[in-house]
Amino acid sequence: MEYEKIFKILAFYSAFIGLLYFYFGLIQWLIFLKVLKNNLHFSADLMSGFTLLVIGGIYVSGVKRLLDGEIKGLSYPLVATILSLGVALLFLLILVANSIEYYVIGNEDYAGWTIIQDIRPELFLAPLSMPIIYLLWKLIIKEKLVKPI
Amino acid sequence: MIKFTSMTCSGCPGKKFCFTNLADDTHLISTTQSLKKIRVALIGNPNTGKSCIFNELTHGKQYIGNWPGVTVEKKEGKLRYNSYEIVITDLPGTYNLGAISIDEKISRDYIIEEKPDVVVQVVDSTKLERNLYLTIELLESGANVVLALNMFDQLEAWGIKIDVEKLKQILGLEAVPTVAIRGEGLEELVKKIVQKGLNPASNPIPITYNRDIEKAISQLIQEIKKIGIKANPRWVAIKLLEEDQDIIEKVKFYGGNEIIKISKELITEIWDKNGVHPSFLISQTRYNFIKEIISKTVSRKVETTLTLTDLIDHVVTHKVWSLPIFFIVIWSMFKFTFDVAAPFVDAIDITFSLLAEWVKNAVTIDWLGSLLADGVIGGVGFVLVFFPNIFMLFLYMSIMEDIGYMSRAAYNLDSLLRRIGLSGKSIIPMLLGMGCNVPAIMSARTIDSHEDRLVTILVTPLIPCSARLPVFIMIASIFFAKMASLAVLSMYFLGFTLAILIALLLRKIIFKGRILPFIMELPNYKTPTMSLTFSQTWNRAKHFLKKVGGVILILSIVMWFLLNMPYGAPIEDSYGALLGKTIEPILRPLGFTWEIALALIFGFIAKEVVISALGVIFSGAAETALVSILSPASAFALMAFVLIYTPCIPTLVTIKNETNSWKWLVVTLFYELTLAYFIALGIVLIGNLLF
Repeated sequence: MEYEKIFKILAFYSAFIGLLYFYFGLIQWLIFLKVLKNNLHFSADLMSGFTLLVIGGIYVSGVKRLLDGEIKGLSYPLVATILSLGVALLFLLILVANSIEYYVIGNEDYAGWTIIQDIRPELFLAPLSMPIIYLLWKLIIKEKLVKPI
Repeated sequence: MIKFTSMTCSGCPGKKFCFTNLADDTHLISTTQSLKKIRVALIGNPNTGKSCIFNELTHGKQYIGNWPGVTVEKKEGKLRYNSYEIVITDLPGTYNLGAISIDEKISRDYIIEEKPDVVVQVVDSTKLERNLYLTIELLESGANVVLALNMFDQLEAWGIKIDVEKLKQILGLEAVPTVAIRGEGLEELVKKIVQKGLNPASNPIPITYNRDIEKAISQLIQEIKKIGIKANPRWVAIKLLEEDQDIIEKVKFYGGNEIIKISKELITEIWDKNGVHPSFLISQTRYNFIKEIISKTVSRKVETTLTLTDLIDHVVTHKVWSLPIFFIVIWSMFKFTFDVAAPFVDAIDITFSLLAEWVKNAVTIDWLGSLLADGVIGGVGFVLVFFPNIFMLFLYMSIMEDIGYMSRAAYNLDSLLRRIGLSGKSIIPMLLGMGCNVPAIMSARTIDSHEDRLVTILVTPLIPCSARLPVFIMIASIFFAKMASLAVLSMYFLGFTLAILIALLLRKIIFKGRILPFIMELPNYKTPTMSLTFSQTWNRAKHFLKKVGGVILILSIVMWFLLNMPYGAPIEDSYGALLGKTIEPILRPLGFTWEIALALIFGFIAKEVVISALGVIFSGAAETALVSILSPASAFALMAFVLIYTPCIPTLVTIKNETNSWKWLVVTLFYELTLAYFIALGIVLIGNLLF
């Protein structure tokens, strides 16, 4: 596949995933600010919303440079993906910790807790970055467009 | 690639290699041999892997960070190789021997005055050109140099090839490729150290300056030889021509006032003749020489293109995205510290509660049962509960350091600080302060300007260290439930904001002066290594355990006695209560009772003691008791008060030592106590108005 084509795919996919992150970030903020009612299975969190907005923002802000075929445009999906995976790992660890509290320790503060409450946007959005990881790997490692240091 | 092979030692079977640490007798190869001592100095530009080589060779546990300025004082370690005892001194990083900051001065003085048998310059092979400036200065100083070409494995990825043999030939020294992080090349390095140590002849001077400079050097050498200064005369002559203030003072100290006069005349003469200051001519000649060496020894397969590090930095240091990313990293740190550690915290809490219950029932002597259950377990156990949080905090920080993010954080905050008129160099001690304020204050040695250094020392105690974290976590989890991690995060925000504001105030009112530019080399991003990350985390976390087993245990027992004497009297009439009640009227406007006042008095020694003290005072039922005596506003004010009110004793001692003055210790104590009181009062007043 030509570079130009990969850059275009990356641009469109970044726009798509970025808007998704942005949407969930905005929803969390609106719920937190009590503009919207919380009909979601997870609780709204100010900083979590901020994180999603930032990740979404980084994805979207790289779109133009990717469409122009600039190598530096790769920075945006790269960093946004690293952040999204880092945050997903964090919430996965929190899910494991909460499971231990509920199933092993039997902490009474966790009465009524279910795993579904911890399946937050940070977790279910992260797998969507897999195609970006593949395309970046192709360009950086396979095609050696950038030195892997 | 030179691979490391094992050497024989009965004491370390299965070890990758066995350079023996003399502190550990199990590693002795031969106890009967008389050992020849070789003194070695490890020097190099910041962040080239000196401490990593030091740790590998000496089995040491020196702190390693993927950012410049982590070593600010010299550290010594030993290793035994055949019949040689090699004493290695790890020196702070420096780019040249023109010392400006304290850490650079430490390095230079050691090389020049202590004259080690061998000087190992650790070089970042991927940045050979920049590193060679120091090599030239070392050779000029008469040091017996061996180059450790570190990070040699990264050359291939950079498309660079170094002709090591040619480099050795041109510079007339030994050079060994190494990959310190994997221990590769270190055996060869030790062999070369021994060879050089046995043959302490200094290397030939590889560089000749223009005729005027050389003539001046010769003239000065004749004079310098007469005064008996402990340094290479040629190097001293060059430094005099460069007008190095420190060397001028040293020459004067040896009675060389006449030499200074001559050197000034020579400088004027050269300046008039060449149109530029001799220091310019000297550095220009050195750079030209380096260019020549690089052209003969380094070949590049491809012209430099973008690296993965460049790509990541494009966004991580971006003017719009850098700060939001920094906030996410810091918020994630607290989420990790708080939520991921929670089950471990609860497990320890349950264990100690059960233990205390069992001890109370098992020990038949009432007072002893109470001492053990309420004093020892209630006090120490209440602090130990927070060990998982401390461990997680250090683990997260170690990962961020290993990756290389912390230096980016410093870089990003620098631009913010500069905009409000502060030196960016202050940010490194501030970030280090999140671990412990003591090394953070010491790291201010890297700051060149005296004013900036003092300001940094005075405000660093406002940065919440790991000792304050358990206090924040305890109060936040009791009073702010789901918002607990945000409440803890707000303390860090408050600490950094106050530090910046106070620094600004000091800069505007007391320490007026020019702000020196902050130049920082950003290291490449690295994948963190499990072993290094965990050993760094453990080295920091065990400090907390040692404190729990030492000072906190003792103070918990003291607290129990204070609260139980006179024996049999109600706690409100105890000596402890009396002490607390003496301070209580001052703290009453903040909503603090005598129990809180007493805990705060003990917290002066070490911040964790606030927790153990509350554990002892409330006999293990601190959570319920605190809810009954504190409003949420007062609880938040207590967090702020603990953050600000006074540095712990070791921090105060460090302030005294680093400023060499009691005055600054008293100033710090006074301003922090006052600030703590008024900030806490403000929180209570606003909190009571709002809720």
